[in-house]
Amino acid sequence: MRCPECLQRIHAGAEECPHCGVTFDVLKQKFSNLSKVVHGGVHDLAGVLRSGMRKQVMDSVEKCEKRFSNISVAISMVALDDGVTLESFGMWLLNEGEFRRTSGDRCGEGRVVIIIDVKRRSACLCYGYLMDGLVREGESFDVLTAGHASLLEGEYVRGCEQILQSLKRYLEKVWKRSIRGEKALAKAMKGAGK
Amino acid sequence: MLLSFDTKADLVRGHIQLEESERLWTPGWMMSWLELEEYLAEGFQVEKIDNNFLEKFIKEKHFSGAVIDPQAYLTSETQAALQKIIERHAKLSNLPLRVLVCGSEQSFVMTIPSLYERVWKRKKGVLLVYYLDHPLNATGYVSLGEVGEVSQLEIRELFSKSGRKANEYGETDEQLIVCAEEVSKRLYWIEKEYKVKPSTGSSSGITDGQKDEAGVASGRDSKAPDGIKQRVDSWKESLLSVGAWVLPSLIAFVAICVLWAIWLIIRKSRPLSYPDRSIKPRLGAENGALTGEIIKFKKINESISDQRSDLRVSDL
Repeated sequence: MRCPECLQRIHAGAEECPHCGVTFDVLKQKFSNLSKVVHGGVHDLAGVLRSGMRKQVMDSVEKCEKRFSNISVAISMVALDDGVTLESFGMWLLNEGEFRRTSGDRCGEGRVVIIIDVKRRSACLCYGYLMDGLVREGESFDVLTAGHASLLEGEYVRGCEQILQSLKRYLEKVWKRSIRGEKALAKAMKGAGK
Repeated sequence: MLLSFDTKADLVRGHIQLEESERLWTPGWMMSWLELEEYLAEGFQVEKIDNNFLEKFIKEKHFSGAVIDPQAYLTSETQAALQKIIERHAKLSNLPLRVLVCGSEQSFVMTIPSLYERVWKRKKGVLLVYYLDHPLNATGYVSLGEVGEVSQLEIRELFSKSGRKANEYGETDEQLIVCAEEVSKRLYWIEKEYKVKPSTGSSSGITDGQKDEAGVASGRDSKAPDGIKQRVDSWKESLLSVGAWVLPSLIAFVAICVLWAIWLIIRKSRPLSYPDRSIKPRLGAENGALTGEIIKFKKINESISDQRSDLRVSDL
């Protein structure tokens, strides 16, 4: 995996980054002054969404989540300072965020967070452990390209909708991958048992 | 006044010319059977044939045939061809066909229906009375036996149309053959209309020949009680047999498509569930630590393809 702070490759089981020494607790400290409440899957720290637009994005998030029983999705619009990486913020929100919704929060390991930095004009995806080993970085990039043109124009709502649609299709594909993997694993175990 | 045998012969041969009022003739029923037989054997033509003679002729002389030719007009080839038509008709129809061949001037003492009933009683059948070289004068009778009665109009139409068709041909023998064929074909509609069923066969009042004939008519395959079914054209039969399985197959195909569509809809509507996994937390994070590639939307000239080419490839 990559260190969210220095972006260097580190061992998956490492408790701290050997390059920059960052741990999750460090990140918690770093972002402690930011609001971590996510209402209905929308976290608008940058304040770019009006109430109507917010409702629209929330509906799109709900539509995306409906397809899955143990996946929750959130979109965070932020304006991060220089020196703060999108990856570190994403990791912090994924683990520390308070995801509040009327239907109740789902499994934390099944969260997917879309981070859109309106100041630095960049976006990324963060995944919970449920998708560990199943998602590819290049594929995540393809998911975000769906909203690239809209985000370029500053149409954040439209961009979010497009990204969510693309994310839904991608998560369906990853789900099939996970089922295939499970079947292969079960077959291997059955073979080993014999 | 009864004429002598020789005088009769001369009269018939036309050697003695008599005025119409003086012409004397002896009805066939007044002649002895022997005398009449002799006449016919020598090729003489009797001006009138009465029912008694005909009855005797059929029962005692031509008891096994359906081609009644008392005066032997027909050649053996014509007789054979006619017999063939009658046999073919017997396989397809429940009304035996009989053909009485007469000369053009032949007349009958009694009406044709009476003649038929006299000879064949109330048995089902058709009698075609054909006048050689005069197909337009063809007439006859259709008897349905106990079932009912065919209307006179239909009988007239049957024979007149058959005669008209035969009249299109030139040869005498050909005209007769065509007329018999037409009668056989057109009987289909009468049988259909009156729902003629095969006869069960009874021995009363029937000669051996008529029994044989009735046996041919009713000796058809019992599994095909209605001979009309066999008359369906071959192309109609094949069409029916094809249609018998095409429609059910089509319905089955549509049903399968509909079920498949319903299954797809149900599958789409069912939420997907990721299998549970136990992953050791990374860097102390409880829920996740995976981040995908970053996409930039800062500058228009920073295209997707340029960004993609700069992607780092990492192993997760």
